[in-house]
Amino acid sequence: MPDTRTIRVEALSRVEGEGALHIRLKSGALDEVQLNIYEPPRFFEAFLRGRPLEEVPDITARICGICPVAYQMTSVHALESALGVQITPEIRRMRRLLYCGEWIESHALHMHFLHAPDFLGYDSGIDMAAQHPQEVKRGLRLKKHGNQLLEVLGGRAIHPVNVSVGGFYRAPRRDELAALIPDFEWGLEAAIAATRWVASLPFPDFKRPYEMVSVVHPDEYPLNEGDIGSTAGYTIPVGEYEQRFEEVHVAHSTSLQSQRIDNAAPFFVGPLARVNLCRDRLAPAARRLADELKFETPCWNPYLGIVARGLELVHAYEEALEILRDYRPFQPPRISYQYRAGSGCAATEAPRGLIYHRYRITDTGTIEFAKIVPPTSQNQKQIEDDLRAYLPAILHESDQRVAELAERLVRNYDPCISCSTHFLKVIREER
Amino acid sequence: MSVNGALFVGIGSPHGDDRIGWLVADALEQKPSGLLRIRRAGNPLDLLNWLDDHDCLILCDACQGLSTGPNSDRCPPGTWQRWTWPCADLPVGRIRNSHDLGLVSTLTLAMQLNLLPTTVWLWGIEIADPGPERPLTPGVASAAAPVAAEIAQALSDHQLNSSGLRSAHA
Repeated sequence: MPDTRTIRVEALSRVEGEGALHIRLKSGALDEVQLNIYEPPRFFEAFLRGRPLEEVPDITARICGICPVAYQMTSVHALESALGVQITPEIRRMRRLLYCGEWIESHALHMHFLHAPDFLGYDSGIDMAAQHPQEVKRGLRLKKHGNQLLEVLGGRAIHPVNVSVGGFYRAPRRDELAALIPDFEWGLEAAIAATRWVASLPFPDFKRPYEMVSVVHPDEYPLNEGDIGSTAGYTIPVGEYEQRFEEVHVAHSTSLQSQRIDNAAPFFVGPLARVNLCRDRLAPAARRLADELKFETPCWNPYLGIVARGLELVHAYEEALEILRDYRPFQPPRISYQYRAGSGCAATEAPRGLIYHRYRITDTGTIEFAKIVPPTSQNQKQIEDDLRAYLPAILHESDQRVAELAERLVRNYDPCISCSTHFLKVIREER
Repeated sequence: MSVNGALFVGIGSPHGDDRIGWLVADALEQKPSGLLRIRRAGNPLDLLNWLDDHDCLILCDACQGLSTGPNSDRCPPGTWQRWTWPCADLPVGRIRNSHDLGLVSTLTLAMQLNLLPTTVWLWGIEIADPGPERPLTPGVASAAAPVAAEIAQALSDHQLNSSGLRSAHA
């Protein structure tokens, strides 16, 4: 019997980015679990320093090809806070519409192509496609709707270019948005069917005492604006985020990990956190569907995040349709502003969870300081914590099976490792 | 088989030599045959939106690593190779990220979904530098016209074979 046993999964499929999982056993018991993010740091916060604030939305959009809108939205809201800019209700609605597009493309693909194979025993969405062609086709069609909305409103599907501090460079024409309505009407029904489908999947019985955190708003489902709420019972203004949560360096990761400042505890962000905290603010069809599916909230089983994603997919279609049907071109497309020295922060909800930005600007409109906290950085410590709780029960399994099951647990979080600093290599060491 | 429904997709980007798939599309547009619908894709997944009602799919993409054999030197930029799908010797490559599929993965998915026409040809052109804002390598640029001509000839031959005209003339 060798002293050291090593499991290597060279490529964790269906997560965004590259990382490794190191599992160390001592006398047969779990000793340490580390999520090693080895992707090189990307230094976006440093890139921004000294640049005109107008460049921030386009530069931060390059952080991620999946959730560029989240970076753009959070940056413009934070900069507008620093500048004292008040946007119009019309601009605000267009920003929510753009965000709906990103949620639709991201949620549809993750549900149908990346996550569902875990519950049906397939290695990939491609493998699943032979037996579940209609579901895969539906997922791809829904994803296309999201991309189409981003193209019309954002100028292109990946890394949109129409978002500016103060609003948009150009307001869309009514016919451009109206042309999307038939597809979105089909999409709403398809999203409901998709959510019923994922709710019927077999879920592991794994519940944990999470603290879940999301943006909360008294009148609407969280996207662009609100306070920060927690299932622990508190609500704080966004301006107090850094007094409650901190990012820390860990030796095994090039990505910072977030934790609570007071007790170094992890916390959980994402669709499940949002549904747990804001279920009553889902759009009507999504709310009715949650009731129909008997989706109990608060829900503490991370595997059920796929159902929460489905409910949010329905919500995004409903809200998008409402805006598309009522749309009238608006002027001005953006609010002008004067430079002034100051600081501003904002939190919005990316598809995979809360995202926080803070900027300090000079009186000539230059970025002096930037802080960007993506959702996956906030979830990483929670993922490690989940693995510590989950792994002891499966360590009797083969190395390959342990790796598969660990990867599935990680995928509950739809992690975007590229954002936080890419495939998971699992190393199991037994002493 | 009719090839009236032939679709050409040039896959590329505005960056350096990676634009060669689009340049081949440009070159094909200069010689309208009436046989081709020509599209430009920035991402292989775009293909899945365009496969309806086509009975022949022709693809052209940039590639790196072409060689004349397992232990041979790499081919110079501008060298091209043709494959007929499905083909085992096309490398799948590393999946770039969770929300994006490469060309071979996209074709595999399309095959699983029964979306592929019976005839699928791929042309790969060896490139040198796909970097942003990099100029097109002259050797790569010079491949666009001959590759377009080869595609047009292959389609013409295929049409003749499909209609039986070639055997009638033989």
